[in-house]
Amino acid sequence: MPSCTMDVVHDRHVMGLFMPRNDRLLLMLLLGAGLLAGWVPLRAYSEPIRVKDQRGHLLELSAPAERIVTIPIPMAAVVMALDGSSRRLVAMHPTALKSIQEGFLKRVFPEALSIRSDIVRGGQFNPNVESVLELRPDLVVQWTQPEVLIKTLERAGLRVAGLINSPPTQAINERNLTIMAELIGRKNRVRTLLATHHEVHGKIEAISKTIPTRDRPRVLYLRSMTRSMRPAGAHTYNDFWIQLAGGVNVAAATLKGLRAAVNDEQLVVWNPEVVFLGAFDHATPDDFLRNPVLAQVEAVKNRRVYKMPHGGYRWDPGSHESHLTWQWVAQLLHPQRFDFDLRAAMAESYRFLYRYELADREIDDILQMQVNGEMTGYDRFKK
Amino acid sequence: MTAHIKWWVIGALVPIMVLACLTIGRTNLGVSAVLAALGSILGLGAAADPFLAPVVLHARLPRTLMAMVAGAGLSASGSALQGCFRNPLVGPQTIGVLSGAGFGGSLAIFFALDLLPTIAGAFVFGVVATLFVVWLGRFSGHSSILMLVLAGIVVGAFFAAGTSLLQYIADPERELPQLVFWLMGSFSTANMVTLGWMVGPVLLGVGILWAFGLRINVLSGGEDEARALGVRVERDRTLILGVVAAICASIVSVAGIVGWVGLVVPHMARSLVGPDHRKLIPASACLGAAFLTAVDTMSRSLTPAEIPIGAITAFIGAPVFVAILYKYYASGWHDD
Repeated sequence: MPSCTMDVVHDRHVMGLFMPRNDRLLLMLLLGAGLLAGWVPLRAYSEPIRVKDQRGHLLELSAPAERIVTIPIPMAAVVMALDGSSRRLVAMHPTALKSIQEGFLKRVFPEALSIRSDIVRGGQFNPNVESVLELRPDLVVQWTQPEVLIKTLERAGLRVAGLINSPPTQAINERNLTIMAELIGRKNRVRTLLATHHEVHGKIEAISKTIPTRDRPRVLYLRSMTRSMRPAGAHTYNDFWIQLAGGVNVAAATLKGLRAAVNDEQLVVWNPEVVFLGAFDHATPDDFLRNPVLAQVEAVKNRRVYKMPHGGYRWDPGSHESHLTWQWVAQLLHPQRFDFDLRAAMAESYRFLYRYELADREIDDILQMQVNGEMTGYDRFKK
Repeated sequence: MTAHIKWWVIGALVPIMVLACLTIGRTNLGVSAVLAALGSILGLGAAADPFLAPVVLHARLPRTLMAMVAGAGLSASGSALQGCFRNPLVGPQTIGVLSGAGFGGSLAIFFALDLLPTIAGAFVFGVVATLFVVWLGRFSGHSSILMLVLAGIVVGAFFAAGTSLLQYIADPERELPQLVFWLMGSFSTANMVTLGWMVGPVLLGVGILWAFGLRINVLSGGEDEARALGVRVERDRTLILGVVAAICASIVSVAGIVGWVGLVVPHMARSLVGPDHRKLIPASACLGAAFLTAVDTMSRSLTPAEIPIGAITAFIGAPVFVAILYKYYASGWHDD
């Protein structure tokens, strides 16, 4: 961060005036090195940006994007986290705004609550092009599929970055994050963030790949439960983190994606040992436990049903907070094998991402302590 | 087949279908396990398997009963409507009640309300839609069949547009998938409470329609003849419409929009027992009950994921309907 470097240099320079000559020489050298070090990132900062989006389409910007419209729901939170501020956003999807209102981000970026969201209506991803144009954005972020979404915006002369919806793999998630970071001139921050992702991933994988098949619990992730139960099948991000953490996704053998709805009886057949309830609806582990049909399901008998946390964004899909999801899941699937200090990891990550000091109460809220507190093994996340 | 045996067959179809469907599902249960589970509620026999009994009693039984009752209600409604409007193309969908109820329920889901407000919303808007249809149908001074059917189409389209608008503005991560799933029709949320909400109005309604069989016969003979016979055509028609609205709204409220059943099953029944509504209405009810029970079983058993009921009924209903139209056309019914 250039401003930081400059402050330090300035302090040292002032101190240098009252120092002996030898030291002053050394300091001059240091100062030169400091300026050089500061100059390099400054140069990088002002360099034109060239980045290929998820379509392979080359985007060229003379400077980091300053007026961004995000249509993909998670991307508003991603931009704020990668930038550490909400100032670059001029409009976002109304559901993204709702996630900020309901979640934790409104405390970090209260000014984000007044960002416009009326360019598109809830059920849709095709914004009113004229409303977008009126905002004079220098970048619009949109899903790559269906293609017509981007084409409509580009025809109106807008610069559009295409990202992949619900990234099914970590590679695609990382690419989404990297593209977004490069477009706002935050290459270094995303590099640091992804280094943490890789480190956590490596630690978990090193242990989980040694777990024999018979010790891998049967796991089910339900994206919604209230009116219809929608499990994550194969080729989903949830399937990825279940496997990473040493579990077997019971729905993966027969279902693909997140769209299918299943009934109680199918859950009895799958008989999962651990169930994760998505943070997208309001269903709680207690609701799951009360269903008489599911009484004999292993996860119910052993009270291993958990509500997904909701931090800067919901922890279920791939995002900038995914490394926290993995640690949470791994410790719930294999309490004996994994030992992370999740609360400390959260505090550190939120300090980095949002420049925010999490209070204990806030960590409890994000981890859904109120509804998960009584479930097996959740004690370890308590303060 | 003598008339007597025919009735035995139609009557036996329902319990046989229900029992058969209780044994079919994602988990393999034998007939004995199902009977043991059923016996356990009645306090008969040895204790049922604690693992299998909840599957039968809480997963399969409520929705099978619900599909049965809904099938009976929709089919009886359809045959009553076709009779009193003298039109083989009329069904619960054509008089706007399904769209109205669909909108009411969607509204409740949109505002993330509970199951009871969903039921209430569907019911209120189903009845309101029907009242609109009756009111619009009287524009020409007296209620004509053409006006009523047109009014049904108009009101249906109006509420369908309202539902589309709700889908348009619903939260794509939360309410929208629920809304779409509910609208396509499903008995997967069935439990003894929702079943209780539906059974009363539907069975009562079907009973009333059955009791009205003779009057529907008179109405189906033509308006002038009915008037000549001293029937108060408009009053009776409005009454029947009201009963149908109540039946359909209570079905939609818990199971979403289940199309085609009320249109196709009455034709099947008519080909079996003839056009006398005193026979046609109970026969339609039985066939409809068996049909929808079978369809629901397919929807929950064919694949791990639930197939929306509306999709199956449409796939079966559309070709059957074409066949029926062809048959009628060939037999000269179009001259009526």
